[in-house]
Amino acid sequence: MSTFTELTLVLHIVFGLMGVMAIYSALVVLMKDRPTVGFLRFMSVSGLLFVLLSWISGAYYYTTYYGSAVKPIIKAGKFPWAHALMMEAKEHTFLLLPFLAAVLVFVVLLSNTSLLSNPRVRRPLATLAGVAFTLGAIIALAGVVVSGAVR
Amino acid sequence: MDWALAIKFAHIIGTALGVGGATLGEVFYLKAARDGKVDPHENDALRTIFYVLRIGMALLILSGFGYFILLRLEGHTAPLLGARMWAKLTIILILLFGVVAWHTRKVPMWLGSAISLTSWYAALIIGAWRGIPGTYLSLMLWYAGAIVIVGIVLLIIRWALKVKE
Repeated sequence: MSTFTELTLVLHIVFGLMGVMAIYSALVVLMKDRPTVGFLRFMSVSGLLFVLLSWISGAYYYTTYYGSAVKPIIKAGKFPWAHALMMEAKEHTFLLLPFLAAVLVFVVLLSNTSLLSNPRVRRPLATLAGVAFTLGAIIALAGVVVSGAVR
Repeated sequence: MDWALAIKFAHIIGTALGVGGATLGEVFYLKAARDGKVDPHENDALRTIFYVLRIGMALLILSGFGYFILLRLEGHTAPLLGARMWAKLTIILILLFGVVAWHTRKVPMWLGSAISLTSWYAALIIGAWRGIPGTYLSLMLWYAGAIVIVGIVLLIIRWALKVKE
């Protein structure tokens, strides 16, 4: 693996992790009766940004290296399901994540403090963040499995 | 200093902050709740402790994935599917979802405390005990058993201290 390819893999993982952690932070803030709006906005926007950066770096790594160099190793090894099931699930589940994160950002940016304190707005938004975080966690764990199968 | 050492330091510091934060948080909460109410000074102390605990958690997760990246890049990928790794990942997820459950009042305080304390100490033990025997399932069963025991001990302590909640 070239140094640049290694870097894109590292950035894909780090950006993805930062995105999921930011979305989790937004979720925790949304569970308070009076969310700190500035922090909420910062974490929501950060979450979306990092998810998009993870998408871009992951796409580059997948198309330039994974498909030709890593996938054949996994499919020929002890854990072929790591690609067939985990990577495929990861790719397709991930499609939802940027859009969930974007909806969270739009609602948070367009709402004022009193609206975000209203439980009828806050609770569905928290559920949205919770779903986004859960999907992000699943995607991260699937990535660990896929990497673990590269032997 | 190379990346491996830096990640090790970060992981140890994260664990220390988390385990320390969880332990002190419980101690301070029990002390505060003895009179049935948490006054502003006590609340401020608890908020500070939990803030430090969250920093520890963030450090732990980032450095944990740092280990994952190192293993992947060096080609030592066997531990990534190992029982220890997945037990720790599961425990961290339980901690994260536990915070959500506690905030939404889906778990009572004593159970939340038992899960939090057991999880942090379990992550410490599994992380420090390199050759820990057992499959993923057996480790998780020990973990579940430990939560029950810690829960009972905390209930006894709450009763003995006459904690009012």
